Amino acid sequence: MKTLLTEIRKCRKRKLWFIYLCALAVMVLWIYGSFARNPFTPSQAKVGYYTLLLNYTLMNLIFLPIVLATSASRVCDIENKGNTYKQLFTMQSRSSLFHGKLVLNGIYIFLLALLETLSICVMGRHFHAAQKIPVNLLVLFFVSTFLVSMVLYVMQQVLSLLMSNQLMPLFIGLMGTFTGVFSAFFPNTILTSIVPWGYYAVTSPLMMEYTGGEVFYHVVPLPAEKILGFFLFGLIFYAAGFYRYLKKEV
Amino acid sequence: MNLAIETHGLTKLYSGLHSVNHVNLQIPQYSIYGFLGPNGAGKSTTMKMILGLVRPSQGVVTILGKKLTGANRLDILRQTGSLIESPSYYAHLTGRENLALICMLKNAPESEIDRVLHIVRMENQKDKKAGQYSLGMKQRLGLAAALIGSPKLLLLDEPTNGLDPAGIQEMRDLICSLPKEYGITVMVSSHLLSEIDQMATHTGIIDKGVLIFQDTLSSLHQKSGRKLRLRTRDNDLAARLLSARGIPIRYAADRRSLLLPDKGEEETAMAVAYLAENQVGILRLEEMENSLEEIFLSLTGKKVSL
Repeated sequence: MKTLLTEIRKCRKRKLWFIYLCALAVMVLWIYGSFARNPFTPSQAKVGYYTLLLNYTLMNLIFLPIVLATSASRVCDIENKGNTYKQLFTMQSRSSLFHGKLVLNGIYIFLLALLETLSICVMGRHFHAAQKIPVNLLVLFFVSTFLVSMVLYVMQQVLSLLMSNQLMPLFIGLMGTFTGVFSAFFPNTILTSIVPWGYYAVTSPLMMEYTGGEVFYHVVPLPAEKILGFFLFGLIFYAAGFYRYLKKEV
Repeated sequence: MNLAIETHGLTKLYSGLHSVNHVNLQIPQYSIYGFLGPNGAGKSTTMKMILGLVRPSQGVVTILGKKLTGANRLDILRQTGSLIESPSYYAHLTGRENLALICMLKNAPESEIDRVLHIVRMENQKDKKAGQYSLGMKQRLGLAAALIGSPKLLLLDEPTNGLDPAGIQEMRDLICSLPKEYGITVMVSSHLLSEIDQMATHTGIIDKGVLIFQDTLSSLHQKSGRKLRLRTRDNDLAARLLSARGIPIRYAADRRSLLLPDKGEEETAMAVAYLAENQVGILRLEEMENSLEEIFLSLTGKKVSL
């Protein structure tokens, strides 16, 4: 708890919350603008929440990897720039510093995922979606947004703590965004399995199909092995990165 | 003698090469221990190993009577303060906010902030962002952070680096006051003998990772053969007279003065009186400060480039 409070105090003027708030605002405004210009037709309104869910998934793919890279870089860079490790590690364990940063951003990611999910409900009502709220899919969206973001955040935090130059982790995050979006347009290929930034799409059970000029949505079972493999990858990355960080001499 | 820090066979190997080689430090409590050595001699690595920032390849560190282990490291270090290499600070926070963070981590009350700011004379700059501080102010902020929690032991690695002459003097005065006024043992490293000479009570000299000397500062001066430079109206006569009294005399390189060993104040007074009795006019008598290079030469027989 003390470590978390210290991290909050450290980041107070870094406006970490502002990054997440900006990301949420841009995503919501983008989707709002898009549906305000092209409101649901009666047939679209019947699958309004499916449309919104897919749009939010796409927004996550586009924005979240770079948001996570930026926030990880901001919380770690204050230590790199201020040369603080050799002072901090005489007062707190390396593990507590690592997990303090992780928990702080975990809270922000949780709130972002929650607000995104709530905004889907608000948006659905606002644009008169005629469909019953698909609670299961919304819960799944919330859980997958949170967990996939946490795995990506851990990757970025490890990179930001191990690299003194923050350009590289940011560049990796940016490249992640591109490859993640790119991979979503090639479903069921090896690309979707190996690109971690694309897992916002992999963990979405909604499939869209164009047939005869009409859009159909299907709820398909999630690829359990792929998702398990992804979280296993996250766990291994966390363990290896954390070990490297513990061994890093200051 | 109670020891604040004791190390046994402290060793650090990097790629098979000794950065620190079986160092046995003995730092008495309430002393100012000057840790002297050229750049790259292993001073910072040794201090980092004492603080547990670098894992020793071999050896044991005992701080305030307790052997340092992974399990008790933070408990022991809670009684210490440190400033290693350059000061640590959060540039986007004010000096006061930086110190408040240290208070949180050290479980010290925030009332400590005003106390340490007063000690380092930074009360007027406390609300300025640390990123806007001059290097001297950053050093003082680093020292203030080290003093939070009233530590019993302070480790300062080249604390006067980058300071202007006034800042150096101020930092020295501050360090000298710590054992007397606050009961703190100070280990301070430097590559300048003159600096250690003005602060330390004890000293250790490290070269290429090996501790080549460790004792009181006065003992170092005796061992290093401190000299007196004497200039008279008749140097040849003075040399003959002093040699006749068994004082080994040699001419300085410029041949305008004589060099004689510093055997203490009494002997010096007697030699001067003897010259005066024999009508040798004394123009100047000064203590010659040995450079660190000369001390290294006298201790190791090897020249070192500093």
